[in-house]
Amino acid sequence: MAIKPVVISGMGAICAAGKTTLDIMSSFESCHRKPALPTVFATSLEYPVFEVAGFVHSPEMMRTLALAYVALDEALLVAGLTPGALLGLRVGVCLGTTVASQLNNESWYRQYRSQGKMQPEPIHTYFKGNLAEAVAGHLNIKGPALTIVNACSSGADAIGVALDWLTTGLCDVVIAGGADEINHIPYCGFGALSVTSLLPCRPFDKNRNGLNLGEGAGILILETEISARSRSRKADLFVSGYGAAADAHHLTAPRPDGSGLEAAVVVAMAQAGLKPEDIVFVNAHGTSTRDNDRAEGRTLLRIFGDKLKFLSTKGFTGHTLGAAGALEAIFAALALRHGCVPANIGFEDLDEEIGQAPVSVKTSISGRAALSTSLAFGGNNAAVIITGQ
Amino acid sequence: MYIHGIGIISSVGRGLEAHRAALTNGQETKSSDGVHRVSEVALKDPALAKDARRAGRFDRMAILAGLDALKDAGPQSTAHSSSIGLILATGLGPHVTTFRFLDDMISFKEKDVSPTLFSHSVHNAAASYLSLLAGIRGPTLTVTRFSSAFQEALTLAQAWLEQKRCDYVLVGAVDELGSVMEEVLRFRASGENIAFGEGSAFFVLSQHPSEKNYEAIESVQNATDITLSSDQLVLTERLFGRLPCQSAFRAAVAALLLSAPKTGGEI
Repeated sequence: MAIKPVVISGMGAICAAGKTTLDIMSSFESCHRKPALPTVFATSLEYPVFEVAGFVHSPEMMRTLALAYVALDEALLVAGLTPGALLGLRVGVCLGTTVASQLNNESWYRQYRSQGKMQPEPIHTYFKGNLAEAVAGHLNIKGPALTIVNACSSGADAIGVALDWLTTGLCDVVIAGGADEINHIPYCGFGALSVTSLLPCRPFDKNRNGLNLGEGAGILILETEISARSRSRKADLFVSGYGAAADAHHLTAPRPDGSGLEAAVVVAMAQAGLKPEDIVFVNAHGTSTRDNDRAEGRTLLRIFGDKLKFLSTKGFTGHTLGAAGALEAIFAALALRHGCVPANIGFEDLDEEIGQAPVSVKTSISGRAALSTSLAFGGNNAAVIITGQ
Repeated sequence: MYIHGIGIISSVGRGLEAHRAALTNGQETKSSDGVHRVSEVALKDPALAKDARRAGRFDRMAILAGLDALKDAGPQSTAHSSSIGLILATGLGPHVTTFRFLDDMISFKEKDVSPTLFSHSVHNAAASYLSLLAGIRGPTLTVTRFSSAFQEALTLAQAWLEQKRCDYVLVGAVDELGSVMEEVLRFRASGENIAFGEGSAFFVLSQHPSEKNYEAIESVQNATDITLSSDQLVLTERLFGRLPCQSAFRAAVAALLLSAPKTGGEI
């Protein structure tokens, strides 16, 4: 059953492609990307990453939370919401992450192991670092607050939870999105899983050989139409549908037939009251791993047919894990607003196993609905529908 | 929301009968080291032998409580795999595995760390196992907060049912107590003598009435709005110890107390 769409009244983003949504669009426009070896920790491995260059934050705050606050400030500013204005509304916070949910301070743990000494600061930082609790506390928000830890679909799932809170009348406004940082643990972990590339990633390319990790944050201010109207806010972009479905297949590999992803897309389109032909483009998960891109590409082709325009923006941002679904929904929304999608940077050769090429150059679009897909470790699939006017 | 099934594993043991008996007897469940730890015996089950043989304690507790809740609810709840959703709440996640992975990073070269430990160190590995073993193909989420994670999960379950995302939601909480985290928690407690605990409690919920004798969940309030009497706190802490997702155990205790036989039921 179709639902009433919710208004996107503000968006904020930070990632390796830029520190604001405007900067990021400019990087997309110029096809600029610069993956490099990490600088935030020492390593003997040689996997390039997409770090936010020159990002400095207080050592008392998790880097992930600091990234989230940058995107939050931009989103609130665009939405015309001050902390004071939020107090008069029923506000919720739903944010996705992976790294910020763990007590994974390596130097703290090394010292504990070698000397049995428990340094207090990293412990305080960890317990102040639950994203939703921290943001809710920072803004004195009393509504629901939830941190989603669904691996790589966390950011998309956070948008879906926000949609449900707004649709069921629990909130007027929800701060939704995701954030994650470049961290030594996933850097080693993804390397051990043999899914990271020594080269800049090439989503959907025949010769792709793995992902590059990235970091960043994407925050959306979502609002009921009544609330946006009461604040005289312009409403030109909406979240119109969300679907999620589990693969029930494997801990780290997607279901090869893509049936979990398809089920998520079907639910999202039904919520939005849309048919496959209404979708103008898909901002796909497209990690540049062999398994993900094959399963996802084939599934999108099966649902939408060979006229579909699709791309992955991970060639510009790297895989930002818990932030990815939120950042990519924001990029989809901005593409609808500007009437064009960026190139799927890194793509050169068609993969016959997928059977269709993503957009390889900046491409004009006309229409009002886009889909953003996310596939996660653990087999969760999420689909978010963004519509314009 | 109506409760169709409950599954629970704690220092008391595994299953509803063990917990009903503990409520009746008021038994002490602390282990010799002064914490409420789930016994290895309670964590043994043939269901884990094949597809979950690499699962850690955190995953195992969640899997067993989740599967027990589904079994208690009966086959109708899982008759259609896409009509059941899963929400798993946790305060601290699988930190034992995270620390084991850090041990690997410290002891070996970066390229020689265990991929299995890494894939099990993410918070949603337990939900992934549970969906795999129960064949759940509806929406599946893992959520975390240091406080009120279970209440927020219940609120979301209610929204899912209202939105018809699924007909049933398997919703629950899990937290484990490893030695490093125990020391962290003691450090934060500043010398207060607290018996920490671990375990998992799950519920099968639906909008339609259950054939079981459980009462319904009428509403969910933020934990800051709830005041429990010291007797109630003593009851649950004595059985389970203190843990971030404690409210799931309180809810399970409440459901068991309310479902006790009206005559002769003394708990």
